[in-house]
Amino acid sequence: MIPFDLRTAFLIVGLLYLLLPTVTWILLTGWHSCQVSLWCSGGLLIGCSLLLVAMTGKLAEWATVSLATLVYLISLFVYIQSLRLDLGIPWRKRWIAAAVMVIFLTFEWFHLGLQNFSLRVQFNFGVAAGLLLYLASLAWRIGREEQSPSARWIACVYGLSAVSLLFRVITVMGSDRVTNLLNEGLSSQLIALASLFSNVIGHFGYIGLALDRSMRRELKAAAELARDEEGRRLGKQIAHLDRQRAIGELAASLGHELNQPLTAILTNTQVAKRGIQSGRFDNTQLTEFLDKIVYNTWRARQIIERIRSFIRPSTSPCEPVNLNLVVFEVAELVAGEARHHNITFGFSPSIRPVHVAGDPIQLSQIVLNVFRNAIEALTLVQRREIQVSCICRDGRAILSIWDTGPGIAPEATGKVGTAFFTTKTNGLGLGLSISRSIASQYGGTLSIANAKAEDGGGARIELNLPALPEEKR
Amino acid sequence: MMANLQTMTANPKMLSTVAIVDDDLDISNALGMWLNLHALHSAPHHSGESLLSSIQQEDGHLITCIDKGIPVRSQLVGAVIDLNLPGVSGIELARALRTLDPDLPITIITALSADELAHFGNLPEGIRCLEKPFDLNELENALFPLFQ
Repeated sequence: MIPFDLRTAFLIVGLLYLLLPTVTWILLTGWHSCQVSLWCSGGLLIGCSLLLVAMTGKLAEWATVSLATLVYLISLFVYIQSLRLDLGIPWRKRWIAAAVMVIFLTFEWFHLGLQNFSLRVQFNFGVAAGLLLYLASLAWRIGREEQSPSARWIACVYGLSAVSLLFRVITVMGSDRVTNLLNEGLSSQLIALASLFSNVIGHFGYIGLALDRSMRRELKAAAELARDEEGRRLGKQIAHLDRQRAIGELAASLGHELNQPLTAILTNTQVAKRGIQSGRFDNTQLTEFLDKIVYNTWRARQIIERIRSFIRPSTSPCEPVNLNLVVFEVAELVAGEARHHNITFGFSPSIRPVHVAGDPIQLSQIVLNVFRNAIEALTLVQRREIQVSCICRDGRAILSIWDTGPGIAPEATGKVGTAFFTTKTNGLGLGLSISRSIASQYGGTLSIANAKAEDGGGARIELNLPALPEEKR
Repeated sequence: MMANLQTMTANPKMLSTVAIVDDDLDISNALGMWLNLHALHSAPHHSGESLLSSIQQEDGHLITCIDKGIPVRSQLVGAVIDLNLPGVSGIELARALRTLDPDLPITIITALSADELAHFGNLPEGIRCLEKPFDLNELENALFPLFQ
C-alpha cells in the first residue's frame, strides 16, 4: 500500500496537469496554432478532471464522478482532435459533441438508470482506454510520417495509460461493490502513475514535436530557397544560351542585313570618289554623299548593337519597357529572315506606348521566339503574314502575335510550350517554355492557341503582362 | 570607264536606262547616282513584278518609262537585280528578261552567301552574281558590254 491517501496522488498529478500545459503553451509561444491550443486545453481539462477526482468525499458525487468523467471525456476528444488536425483530417465539431453526449448519457444511464456500478466503471474506463489507444495510434502515425521520436514517445505513454485503464476494467469485472477510483488499490495506483507519465512525457514530447517541426520547416524553407536560387540561375543561363542559339541561327540573315548598309556605303564612296576625280560634283552633292555614308554607317552600327545587346547575359533589371519598341526592335532583327521568305509583317502599335516592368532583353527573347516560330511555320504555306497588335486593357498589357501558318495540330495543343516538346525536326523544344517562364517571372502569362479562320487560322500567341501604371514610368 | 552607248541604243535620241531592282532604297539610290555619273539613267524598282509590268517590246528592244518629273520613255540597256526580292526572285526575273532580250546585260547582286544561293537555283548562262558589298568596277565588268 502507498503511504498516503490516493487522493493526494491525484491532487498532485492534477496540479501537474494544470502546470505542464501552461508551461507548454508558454514555451511554444511563436508556434501557436489551433493544434497547440487544443493540446494544451486538453491537458488543462484532464487536470480539472483529476482535481475533481481528488476532491472525492469533499464534494458531491455528481461533481467527483459525473462531472469528472464528462470533463475527462471531453479532454480526450480535444487531444484527439488536436492530433487529427495535425494529420489534416479533423473531425466535425458537432460529431464530437454528439459522441461526447452519447457516451456520457450511456454512462449516466448505467449509473442512475441501472444502478450498476461495476458496469458503469467498466464502460467508463473501457471507452476511455479505447480513446487513449486511438490517441496513441494517431501519435504513432505522426511519428512515422514525420520521423519524429517525440511523437512516438507520446504514443507510448498514452498507450500505457490505456493499458492502466484496461487493467482497472479487468479488476472491477465481476465485482458488485460500490467502487470509485480511490478504493481499488493497485489499479488506481497504476492509473495515477500512468497519468503522471502521460502528463510529463506527453507534454514534453509535444514540445519536442513542435521544435522538430519548426526545425524541419526551417530546413525545408532553406532548401527551397536554395533550389529556387539555383533554378533562377539555371533559368537565366538557359535563357542566355537560347538567345545565343537564336542569334546563331539568324546569323546568315543578320549578315545579309549588315551587308545592305555596307553596300550603300561602298557604292556611295566609290561614286563620290569618281565624281571628285572627274570634277563633276560640287560641294553640296559631295555633302549629300557623305551624309548617306554617315547614315548607313549608323544603320550598320544599329544592327550590330541590336545583336550585341541581345546576346549579352541579362542582368535582369526590372525597368519600364515599352512593348511596342520591343516588337519593333525584334522585327528589325528578323526582317532579313522574313524578307528572305517573302513574309509580310503587319504591326499596328497602339498610339500610346504600352509599358510593362521587365528586362528588355528577356522580353525581346519572348517576341523573337514567337516571330521565329511564325516564320518557320509560314514557309509551309502560300499566304505568309504575321500580324502583331499591342494594347493596354484593364491594367494588363496584351501583345498578340498571329500568323497565317498551319497553326497548332490538335494532338499538340496540350503540349505546346512545355519543355522539350517540339514538332520541329531540328528544335530543342525549349523556346516557348523559356518564354513562358520569363512571362511568369514578370507576373504574366503566355498563351498559345489557333487564330480565328478570318485571321488566317494560324497560331496565335498572347503575351499578357501587368501594365505599368503611368506614374511609375 | 564610260558607258558604251553607241552599241546599245537603237534610237540615239532615246534615253538609256538601267533597271535597278532592289528593295533597299539606300542601295538603289546609290546605284542611281553611279549610273548618272556615266550618262545613264536608272529605273528603280522594288520588285520584279513592278519592272516587268513597266516594260514594252519595240523593234526587238525593251522600252520602259522612267520618272523624270514626267514619265519619259527610255530604252532598257541593262539590269542590276537583287536576288532576294519580294515576289519573284532575282533569278526568275533575270530569266524573264533574258527571254525578252537575250543580249541584255544583267547582273545579280546579293547579300547572301554562296551556299544560300543554291536555294534559289542555277544562274542563267552569262549572268554573274556579285556578293554585296561589291566594287563598282566589278559591277561594270559584270555588265559587259555596257561598260567598256
